[in-house]
Amino acid sequence: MPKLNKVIYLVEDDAAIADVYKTGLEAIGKFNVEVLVSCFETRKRIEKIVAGEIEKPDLVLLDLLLPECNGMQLLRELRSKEETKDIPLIILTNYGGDELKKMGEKLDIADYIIKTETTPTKLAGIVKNRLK
Amino acid sequence: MLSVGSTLIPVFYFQWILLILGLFKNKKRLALLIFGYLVTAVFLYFSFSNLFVKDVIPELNFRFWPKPGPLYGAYLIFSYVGLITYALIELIRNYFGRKGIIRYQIKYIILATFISFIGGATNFFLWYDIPILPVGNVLVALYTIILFYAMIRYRLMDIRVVIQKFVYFSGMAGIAYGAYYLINWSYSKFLGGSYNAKAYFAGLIVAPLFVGIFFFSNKWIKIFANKYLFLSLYNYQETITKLAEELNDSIDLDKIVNSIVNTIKETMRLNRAGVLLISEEKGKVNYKIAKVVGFDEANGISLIKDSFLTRYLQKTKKALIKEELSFLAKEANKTADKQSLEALERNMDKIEASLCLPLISGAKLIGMIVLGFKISGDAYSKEDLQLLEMLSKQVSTAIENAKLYKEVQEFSNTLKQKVDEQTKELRKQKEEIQKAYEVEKKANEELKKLNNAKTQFSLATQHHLRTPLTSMHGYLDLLLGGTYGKISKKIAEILKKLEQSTTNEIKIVNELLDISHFQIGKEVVFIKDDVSVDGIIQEAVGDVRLEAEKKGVVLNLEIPENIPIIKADLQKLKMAIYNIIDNAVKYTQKGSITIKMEVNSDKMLVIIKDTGAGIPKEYQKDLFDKLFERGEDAERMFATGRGIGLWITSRIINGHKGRIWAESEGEGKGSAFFIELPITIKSLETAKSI
Repeated sequence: MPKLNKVIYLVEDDAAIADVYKTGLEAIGKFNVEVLVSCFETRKRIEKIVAGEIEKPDLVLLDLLLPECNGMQLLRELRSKEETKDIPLIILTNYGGDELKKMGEKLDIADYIIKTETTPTKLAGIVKNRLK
Repeated sequence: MLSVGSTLIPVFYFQWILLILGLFKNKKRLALLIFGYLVTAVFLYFSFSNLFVKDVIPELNFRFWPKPGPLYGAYLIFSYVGLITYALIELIRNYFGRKGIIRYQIKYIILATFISFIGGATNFFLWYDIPILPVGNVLVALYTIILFYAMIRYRLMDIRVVIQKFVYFSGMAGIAYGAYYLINWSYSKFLGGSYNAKAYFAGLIVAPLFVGIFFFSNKWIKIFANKYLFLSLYNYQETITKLAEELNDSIDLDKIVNSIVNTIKETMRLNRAGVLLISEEKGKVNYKIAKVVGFDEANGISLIKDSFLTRYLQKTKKALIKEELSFLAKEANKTADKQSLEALERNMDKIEASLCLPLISGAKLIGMIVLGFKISGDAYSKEDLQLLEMLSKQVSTAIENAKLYKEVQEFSNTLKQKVDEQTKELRKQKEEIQKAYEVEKKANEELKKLNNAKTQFSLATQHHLRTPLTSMHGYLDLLLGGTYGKISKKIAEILKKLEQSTTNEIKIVNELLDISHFQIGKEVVFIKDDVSVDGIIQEAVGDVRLEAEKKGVVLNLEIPENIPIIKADLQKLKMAIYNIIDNAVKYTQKGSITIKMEVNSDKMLVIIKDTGAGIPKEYQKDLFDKLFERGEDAERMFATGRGIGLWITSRIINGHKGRIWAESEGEGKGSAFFIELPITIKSLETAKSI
């Protein structure tokens, strides 16, 4: 039986922001959003995917500033493994500037979104568009 | 007949004394000598007559004894007393008048004369029937012994060498003869004669044996002679060859000087020996002790400081013997020279040197060999001096060569030093460059650190300012979108106001972040997008149209077709153009706003002209620059928000390599803003393809 809702991993350590986007994406976009609040948690998920214990998500929304590591490191880890390298990924951050965006583009990101410029409604639209 | 010999004795003796004393050239003495010979010739002529010797009769226990004739008395008075007394007077005068070796020689001659002639005189008593026996004749033998000693010890008549050779060759001949007779005797006794087969055969064994014995005896005789007979019989060839070989083998000055000093000292058995060298430095002549053995160095220096010595050696180029100095002093014509020679003698006395050998190279005095006395107490013979003079020539050459070599080496060292000095400068420069490079590297590292710090600061401000706004904005969006259920109209209005405020806040934060980025030198504008400037204008006009219409301000657009696409930072350029258009609407209460575009080959111009508040002349010049330096005016600008907008706009336009300026007739007379942007060739091509 095909999966009803697309699964999105939201890697975000700020609880309020995570709540806003999770709520928006689930309510507006009908996505199944799983919030990962740390690098540790994210790595555990990656390990499980690699081990074949769980299925990979349809999309990852990745914050760059995280407690123990930065999002770029996680992105590299994802891209370095056969099982996770094709997962679509959008960087969702509050850092402007071109450097980080370029860095991300080299690691094959789908988009680079500034959070203050992006309401949950707008994000749902972008994601919907991406996972069409 | 017997008298002939004795008759000649006094005159011969007189001539010999003149020779020894070097008075032969003196005319007065020569005349006296000739007179002496004439008188003696007369005596000789009459010596066979009875005028001289009357008779020969037995006297006491002698079988024959002569009796004097009348002339014999004259002979006794003139020759035996006169000539000999005169010779003695000359001797004694010279003994006190002279110094050096000759004084010793004279001393012994006087002694010998006294003893022998007084002894000899005892003969005459019997002649005149005085009964005193001629016992003094025994003393005559002493004459020979004393003179023999003087010959050996004081080089009298330079007969010593002859004696040395005589003793040596006699010894060798004695051995040869002895051997011959021994062999001959042995042959006769054991082999039955020298001329048979057995004897010839024996000869084969005896011959090499004899050579061996001869060789050893040669050596033994020399040792014996040296040790017991005061005869230092050195082999000249051997000494010179040995030293010459050493000198040839060496260009080391120290080694040369060492072998000279050691060889001479050992070969001649001297108590002291030394080599002093003269070196010229910057025109100043220096005397240096190269090596001395047995000498007191301080005294040695006092000697060589005596410039008279060096001048003297330079002039004569011959060995200087201390014993001869007083004689030389006496012969010196100048008083100064005399005094100097005497001073020199005192000096040599003081340091106990008895010989100075000049070392001459070319015509120049380059040093000297200074020697002490022979340990045996022996004097230097003429042969010694010849040897030393020969050696000194070899030594001079060797020393000169060594000095040249040393000079070459020193020159080479100087050269090396010079090269070192030169390269030192280069090395220094290199070091400075290296230092400068390191300073720059450090500076770069510092800058990098600073840049990292700026990046950290930038990231931190973005994070802290934007995070709360993100959730506020997000929740408001969700609330208004009905995610949390239906809301009343009243609450929806409030939420909309909140959302508006949040949006404004986000905008302000963005501007502040941009300002801070511009301020800390971080890049803000990224030219990456294909941008349609007329599109941005249309969009902006669309956004402000409602507000303008509310005020009754007319918005005119005069944009030509086919505006080229340019490379730009879309977001930032949009912000810049929005700012200017937004300001125009804000500050224009009536009239119109006209937005025009002009395009030429390489640039495009956007003109935003209004009939609004205008800009006072004094602000126009630095309208875009003086964000934080305006004082009171800045407050007004900040209050309206216009200042920040214009400042950011100008930075963005500059980031696009464009230009922005404003024109205004003055306050209340409206204003015109001009934005000029470059069109790249690529962007022109892009425009055509569209």
